[in-house]
Amino acid sequence: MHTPKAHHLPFGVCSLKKEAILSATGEKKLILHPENRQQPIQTTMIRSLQIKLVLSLSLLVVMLLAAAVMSMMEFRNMGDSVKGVLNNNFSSIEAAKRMMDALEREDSGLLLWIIGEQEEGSQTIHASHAIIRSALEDAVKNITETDEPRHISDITESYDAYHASVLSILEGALPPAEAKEIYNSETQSLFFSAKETVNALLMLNQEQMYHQSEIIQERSRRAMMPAFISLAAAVLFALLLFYFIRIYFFRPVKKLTESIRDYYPEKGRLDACIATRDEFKQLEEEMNNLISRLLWRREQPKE
Amino acid sequence: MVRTRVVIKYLGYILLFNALFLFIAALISLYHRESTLNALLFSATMCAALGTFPYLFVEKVDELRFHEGLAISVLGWLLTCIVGMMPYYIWGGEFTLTNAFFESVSGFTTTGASILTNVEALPMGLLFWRSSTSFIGGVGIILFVLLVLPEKKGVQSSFYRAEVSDLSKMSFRTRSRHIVRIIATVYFSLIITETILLKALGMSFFDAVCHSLSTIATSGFSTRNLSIAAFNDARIEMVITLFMLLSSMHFGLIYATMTGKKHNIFTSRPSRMYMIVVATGILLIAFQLFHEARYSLGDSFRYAAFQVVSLTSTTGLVTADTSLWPLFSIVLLIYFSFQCGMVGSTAGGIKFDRIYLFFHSVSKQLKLILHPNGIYAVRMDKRTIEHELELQVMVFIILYIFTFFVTALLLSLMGLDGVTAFSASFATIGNVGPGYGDVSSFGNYAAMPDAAKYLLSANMLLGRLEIMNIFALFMMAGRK
Repeated sequence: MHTPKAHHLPFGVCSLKKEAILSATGEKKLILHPENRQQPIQTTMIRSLQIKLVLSLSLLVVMLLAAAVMSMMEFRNMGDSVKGVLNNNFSSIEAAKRMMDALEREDSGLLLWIIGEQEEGSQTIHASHAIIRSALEDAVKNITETDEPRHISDITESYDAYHASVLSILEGALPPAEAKEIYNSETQSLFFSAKETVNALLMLNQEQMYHQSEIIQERSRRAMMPAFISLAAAVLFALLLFYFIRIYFFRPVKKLTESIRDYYPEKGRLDACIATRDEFKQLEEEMNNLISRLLWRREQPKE
Repeated sequence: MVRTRVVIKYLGYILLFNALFLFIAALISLYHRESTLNALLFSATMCAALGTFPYLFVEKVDELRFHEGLAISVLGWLLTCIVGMMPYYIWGGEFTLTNAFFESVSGFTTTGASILTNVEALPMGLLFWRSSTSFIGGVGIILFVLLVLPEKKGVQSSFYRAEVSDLSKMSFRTRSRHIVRIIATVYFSLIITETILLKALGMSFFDAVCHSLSTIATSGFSTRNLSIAAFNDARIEMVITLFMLLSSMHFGLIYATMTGKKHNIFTSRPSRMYMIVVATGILLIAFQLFHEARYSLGDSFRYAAFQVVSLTSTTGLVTADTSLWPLFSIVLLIYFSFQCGMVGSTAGGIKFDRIYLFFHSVSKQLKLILHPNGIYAVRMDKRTIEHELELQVMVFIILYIFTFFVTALLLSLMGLDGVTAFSASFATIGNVGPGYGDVSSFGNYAAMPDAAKYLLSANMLLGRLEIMNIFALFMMAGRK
């Protein structure tokens, strides 16, 4: 085996041993021994541009995902609030309205009874009573507010007193003048008090509905907020990405292009001054390796 | 020349640091199943993502130029304040965009001025974030970043130059790379000790932590609408008074006292003078309050001590409505709102050391008038103050007073009454918090017009960054 002979290249590629070997075919071919190649920068030290780009775009995905998840959760919460309003407050309001209507009708029924329309009056009273009982049951089923049980209990109490007074007139079979007097002195005030308690329940639920609508408004604002913020963040992200691409992609390409354009063999090494430890630095090193091989080959005496 | 990518990289670190505290606040929200969870988690994710991004591209630097340190310091504060408003604004309630920004700036600059009319309505996660902003702002976010990141000497020294004033460095009497460690040791020791004491005195753990963060950072944010008055406990007030006083003293001197060094808070002349001035203020106010039969003798001392120390340390926690006190007491309290604590502490304002130096310079000038050929030097703790530093102090005081007047003037142009305009101006530039008029002890900044809130936010930042840094950055940008 031919002993490789040391050569000194005219330029200062310090890491090269500048030795050649003959190929196995016996042909005198000038190649660099693998050991002689300028070592590429350590793989662990490389921050691959590909990884940088992939990771940074992953960050963008994370941001958008966070915005989407938060929007979805807030919209779901908003949906729950709407459902709550419809299922609870609205049902209670409906029940209170039914009670109010039935109370009015029961009172009209009593007045009919007093003026002599006893059959029609009695029917109206009984029908209204059934409606009030059913509405009260509905209200009990839809208790959602803290004060609601107290209001329902007040309604039950005041309505029972009123209805008992109505029944006392009906069952006593009093003459119209006496019945009218009882109505004016006792039943009417009981009627007003029952109405007041129903009205209180209605007001409570209406207020809560208004409050809920404010919460829904707040939640819709919160649901929109991530979109705005992620939009702003995305713009910032895009600006930063553009800046980094300019610094870490375009600038090294420009530097390499300029150094290749200004290169002439007497300069020796191609010095693009790439400061980063990425693919561009590797490219610069490999270009220097290529130059060293070419120059070294050019210096070899022709056969 | 400033390397933009390096500035961006460090701003990214600052975002990551904020994200850490936002995640902790989100965990608290998660534990208590609060409505703030989404807002905090989303803000944390955004901060973390944006903060990581520059880290991917920009490689580690060996050296940081002074201008870069300055740019990172000023822009870091601005960025932190903008990021800090995110959870408030997303959550809503009383937080409009302006209110959220004001509250965030107030927290990070440790001013403690609030727009909230009902603090107790805030969920715990958001209350923790509010206290965290003070905690981060207390010693400065840059110093926190330095504490976490093992940066090279060349990087650290640039940050010190930008963040720590020359006057403050004097009392540390150590190499600059040890300064961060000293500040952190004192800061955390004080917080932990105060938390333990407050908890032992009956505060809930959450309240104890929040009030400790608020006291040591001298921000004055409370978890209660009535501030410390809500607890109505003299022992709690005594503990908080003591820690407010300590927080307003030079951390280097506190560390020296803790480690038994000769030059400590009791032997340092400015430190001793500071304590004498504060004690005199307490005595005078307590005497007047007792003399005018406002309180009993014990209560006069209790309230006077708390309010004087609260204002001079720029904490702004409250136990009494000082706007109802006699005029002489109010004037004294206003003086303390200007004087504030010592350099090297978490307090804002002109700082006692500068006033001390100012009077020594005045004395020097008077001597020079009498003996024009004499050679006189201003000395502080046996060290001669360079003429340049002397000049720096004078310029700072003039700029401070000038900024105070300009802000007050602009506030009065916005329709605020004289007392509110002037007191809001000194309360924000000194990072004190409460003032007089509409912004008195139990009042707040909610009713101010939006423009006034932005102006006061700028004032808070100017005060926190000791004015000069911001002007220097503007000059740098202008020159570029």
